[in-house]
Amino acid sequence: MIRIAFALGLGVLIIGVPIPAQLKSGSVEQELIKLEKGWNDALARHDWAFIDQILANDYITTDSDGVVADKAQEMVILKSGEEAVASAVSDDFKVRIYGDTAVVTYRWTYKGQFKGKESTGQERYPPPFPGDRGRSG
Amino acid sequence: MKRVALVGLVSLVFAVAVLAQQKSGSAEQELLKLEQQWGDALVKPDLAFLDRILAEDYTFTSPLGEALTKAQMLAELKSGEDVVSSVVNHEMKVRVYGNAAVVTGHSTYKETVQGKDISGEYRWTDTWINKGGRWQCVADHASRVAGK
Repeated sequence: MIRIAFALGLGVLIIGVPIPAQLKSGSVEQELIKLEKGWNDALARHDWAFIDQILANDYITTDSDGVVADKAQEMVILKSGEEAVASAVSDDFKVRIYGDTAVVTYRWTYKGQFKGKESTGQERYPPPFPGDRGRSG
Repeated sequence: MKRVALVGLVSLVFAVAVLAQQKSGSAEQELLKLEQQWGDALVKPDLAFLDRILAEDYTFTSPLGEALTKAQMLAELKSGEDVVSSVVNHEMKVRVYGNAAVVTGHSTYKETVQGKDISGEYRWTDTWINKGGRWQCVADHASRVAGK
């Protein structure tokens, strides 16, 4: 549910991955993009072990309806089949690295089902109604 | 001699642990204060304060999926296109990871954009980086709470 709902916009992912000093920022960037794509593949393949591996134990996610879930709740939703992703593609990646922290933003497009109903995410930029944006930063 | 060394070592480890705990606690308090001041600065609006706490590469991902820059956010407030009349924060949680921190929260906004009332409740995530002893927000995402 979380990622499906969030697909209506640009996604923001914050990864606290320890970044070895010997790696240059370019390779860290590639590694993070690879992890993002791997996350998409894992959702489609139902590879819960991969997702369990990349999400920190204190991971939280906020969907586009403002619903917050922790890692355990997210895993339950995925495993239950309530959220079923058939395909997911991320693009328009921007990776910013700050020491051993990185911020990754991207656009996410998916096809799947949510609670048994067909669900497809679409990018919305620029917004149809600028006044609907909400919350000034 | 060995016992003295051991006691010394244990004391040192304890002192470091206490210091780290205090540092993390003070960072948490500082970030909560900054979040509160951020809301106040939107209402005034205090653009100088916002300019200080937002990193140059700050990005805001809106509930509609827009990716906005710092310059865009400040321009809208400066022009009066975006008017915030009150911000009430609740349920804020801070997680500190060294020089980075993630703050999540739930806020009630009274706000108009281009004259349209967009007041409501929002859940948000702010990512802060400590640069040279100063916290700056680098990324921000907000979702509107459904039906509110």
